[in-house]
Amino acid sequence: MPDVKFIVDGKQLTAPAGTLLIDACKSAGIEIPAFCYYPGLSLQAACRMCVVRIEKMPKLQTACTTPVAEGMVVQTETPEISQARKATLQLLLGNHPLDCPVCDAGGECELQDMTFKYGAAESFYAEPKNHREEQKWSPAVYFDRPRCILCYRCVRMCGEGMDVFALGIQNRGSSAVIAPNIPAQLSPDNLAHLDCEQCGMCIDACPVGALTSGTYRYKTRPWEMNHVSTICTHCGDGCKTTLGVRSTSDGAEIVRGDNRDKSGINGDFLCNKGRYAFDFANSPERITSPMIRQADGSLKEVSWEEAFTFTGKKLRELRDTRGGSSIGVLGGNRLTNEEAYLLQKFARTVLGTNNIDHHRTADYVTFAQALAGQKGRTASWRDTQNFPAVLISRWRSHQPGSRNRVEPSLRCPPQQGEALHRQH
Amino acid sequence: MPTLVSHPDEVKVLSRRFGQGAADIDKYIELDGYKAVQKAIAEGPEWIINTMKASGLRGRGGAGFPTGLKWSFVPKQSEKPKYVLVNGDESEPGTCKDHVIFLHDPHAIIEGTMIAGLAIGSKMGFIYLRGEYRYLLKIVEKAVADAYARGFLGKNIFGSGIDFDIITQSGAGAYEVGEESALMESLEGKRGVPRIKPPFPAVVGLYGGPTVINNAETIASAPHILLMGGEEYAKIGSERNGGTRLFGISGHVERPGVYELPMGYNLKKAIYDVAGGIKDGKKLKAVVPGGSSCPVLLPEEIDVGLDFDQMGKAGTMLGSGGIVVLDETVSIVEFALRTISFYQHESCGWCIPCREGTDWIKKTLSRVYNGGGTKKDVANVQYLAENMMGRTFCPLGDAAAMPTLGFVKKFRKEFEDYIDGQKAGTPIITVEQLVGAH
Ligand SMILES: Cc1cc2nc3c(=O)[nH]c(=O)nc-3n(C[C@H](O)[C@H](O)[C@H](O)COP(=O)(O)O)c2cc1C
Ligand code: SF4
Ligand code: SF4
Ligand code: SF4
Ligand code: SF4
Ligand code: FES
Repeated sequence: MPDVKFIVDGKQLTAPAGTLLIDACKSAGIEIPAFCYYPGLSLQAACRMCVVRIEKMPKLQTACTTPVAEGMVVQTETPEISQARKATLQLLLGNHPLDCPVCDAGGECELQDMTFKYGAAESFYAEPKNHREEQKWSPAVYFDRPRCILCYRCVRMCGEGMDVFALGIQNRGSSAVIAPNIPAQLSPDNLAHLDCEQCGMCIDACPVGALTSGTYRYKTRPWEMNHVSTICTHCGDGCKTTLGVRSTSDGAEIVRGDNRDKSGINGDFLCNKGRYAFDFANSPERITSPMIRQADGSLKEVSWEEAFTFTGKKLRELRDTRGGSSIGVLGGNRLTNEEAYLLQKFARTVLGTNNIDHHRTADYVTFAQALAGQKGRTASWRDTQNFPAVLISRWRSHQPGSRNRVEPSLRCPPQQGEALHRQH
Repeated sequence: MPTLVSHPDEVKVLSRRFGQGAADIDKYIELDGYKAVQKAIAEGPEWIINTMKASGLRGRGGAGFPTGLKWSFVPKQSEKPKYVLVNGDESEPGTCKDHVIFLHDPHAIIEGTMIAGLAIGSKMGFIYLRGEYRYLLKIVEKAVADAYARGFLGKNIFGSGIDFDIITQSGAGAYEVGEESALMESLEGKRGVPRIKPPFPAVVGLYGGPTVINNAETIASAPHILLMGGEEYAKIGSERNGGTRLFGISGHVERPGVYELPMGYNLKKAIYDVAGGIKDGKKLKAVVPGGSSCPVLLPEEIDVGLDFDQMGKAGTMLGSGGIVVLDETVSIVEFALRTISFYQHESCGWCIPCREGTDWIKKTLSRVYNGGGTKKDVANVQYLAENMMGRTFCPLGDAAAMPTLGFVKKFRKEFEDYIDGQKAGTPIITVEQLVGAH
């Protein structure tokens, strides 16, 4: 797309035609408040927080739905705009419990931040707030309705992002409410339940404390944790995950995993393994050091140096006495391509063996043979975003991260081995 | 069937077949029915659109958009099918004019739908009826079935080689699906929530195809216009406001009912002459001139012509043509509460200012009405309404804020006096009771 020139708050800016004003402003360092806008998900124009003044337009316009246009003149912070945002916040807070001191989101809540910025603290309603009990939708997902600001991020994240469509909107007007796929009315115990993948993406996307995580809730406060970005080890995709780590009397404890750092290969997505599967870290059964089996059959803890020396020695002995072909190497299915490459290199050049195999979850050998000798036979993750059609086979298996990257742009629910066309 | 009213000042174009049994297809044909569509086939799309443009007809759904122009926006070539949608969701309190057309002259709507289809090159029309109008659906469905039986609908209509189908659909009882894009969502089987615009329906509408959506009265006007000629039709009305319109006059008048008056007809005359003046010789207190969304007019403000431009100048709107007349016995506090209660109930809840704003205004006004109000409440109501205006996703928010602002600004003293000294616990009567059955 050709670039267009436009003016925001007196600054001359340039962006490709078709860029949404809110994104163009963000690139230029001008932050426009937004609840319902979420990059990559469908547009809603529902929260009305992103209103700006565009010259020649009679009303304030939503920056989240307006594409930039040549010669556009925009103002993003004027008394009129601040007042509009403040009034919207006052309306939201009218029924909001404001239980920030005990709310999981306290300290990392977009509603808190926005209220702080626009000073909508005074309340002028005499009527009591609507109270509703919190609901446990699943062991992983809890819903606190009065805290919900109906930004519909969760609904879209689950549907458009995860392709699960487990969340929806029920009722209308001030009775409108986010509902899980087994609403109370359809449930034998008269309680709402969530029958889904429990990926927790909806919790991540929620800008407030309306959706909370069963494993994390009420455990700590966001500012009491160190947020450590790392790579998830549960499969070969290598998604980035951020672990919330808290000091304890005898070391440290991982309290939660989330996806606040969106710079990883996984972009916005993180599967339930990357998010929840860290309890092994503090498990008493966890093997934390190498061990060498003794003559009497028992295992003895040793240092890494000792272990490597021991293994090296044994492998060398075997290679030198019985030949490399007496050694076989098996790669694990959590290895990345790069690690797998190094492993076979090590096997062939150092150990002198071609007996190399891989932990099998599919008939990889046949697959590799079928692809052999053809140009461009493998695709990168980035490629999969641009192909007009993708043939997927045996999908719901081991790499949720890849799946999340490909599926959201597919039109129909994924079925194993079916050719799916992209929505272009 | 409600009795039809009549007055010498009426100009009967749309209503000329009312009361003559024209729901019957033979009667309709006898009264010049299905002639206009044949003329439209003979003359072609360009002629239809030019005639509609010349007629000065402006949409009767409320916004007054020129119909010929709207039809001309639809692209000639389209990969996706094009559609005609008839908006029969008529739910604006005080409005009951589409209802009489469906009741007395359903074939006019069918014929108008076909004409719109011919104009834009569409092969399919939908007639969407308000959920509460289910009893009218039978009449419309019969009319459609009769038209099919005669071969007027379906394949090769009137030997033209053109196919045209009509599907009828009833809503589920939501005012908001009268908004055109919410209606499309509803028709597609989704929640009745409006869509982001642009794109506008003429380009991306129902099922993503270019769509013309018009009010039922707009559509029913088309056959008459084609038969009498655009210029002739335009002459009946006022400047830039062609033709006639059905006005539903209700409330405290001697002869409530639906009257067909030329555009630009004086509002005061409509109340005092046409509808026979204020009931039982009482004094006039206020007029809601075009359905409940329109800001209220005081007695000294009603000497104004009933067309889109003159009403706009008077600080209100022509809206849906539902004129609600309030006499001196009406409590504006109560009326404002009833009005906002409607919008609070009908808000789709999509956007914050409307969902929360209508709710808080209603809560505040109901406390005021029940005797617990303070003067600050009146200021708060005004603040809430001012902060809804122009800020919502669709015009329903404005439709709730505008009348509220009208009431608290023009009747502020009444609100304050009410708070100072009114007794609590007066039973709330409904808007339906207030405006009277039609
Ligand atoms: C909240 C709301 C409710 C509406 N209800 C109706 C309705 O019941 N009937 C109608 O014809 N138009 C209604 N409209 C207007 C439609 O959106 C649309 O403008 C109209 O159907 C266009 O037809 P026209 O050009 O013939 O007026 C409504 C608009 C809004 C915002
Ligand atoms: S959601 Fe945000 S504003 Fe609401 S209680 Fe929690 S921290 Fe406070
Ligand atoms: S946990 Fe994941 S699958 Fe379940 S509702 Fe949330 S986003 Fe959807
Ligand atoms: S639960 Fe959270 S993400 Fe979902 S609509 Fe409510 S506030 Fe938005
Ligand atoms: S203004 Fe907003 S909440 Fe109200 S009906 Fe329109 S979209 Fe729904
Ligand atoms: S961010 Fe634009 S309306 Fe919500």
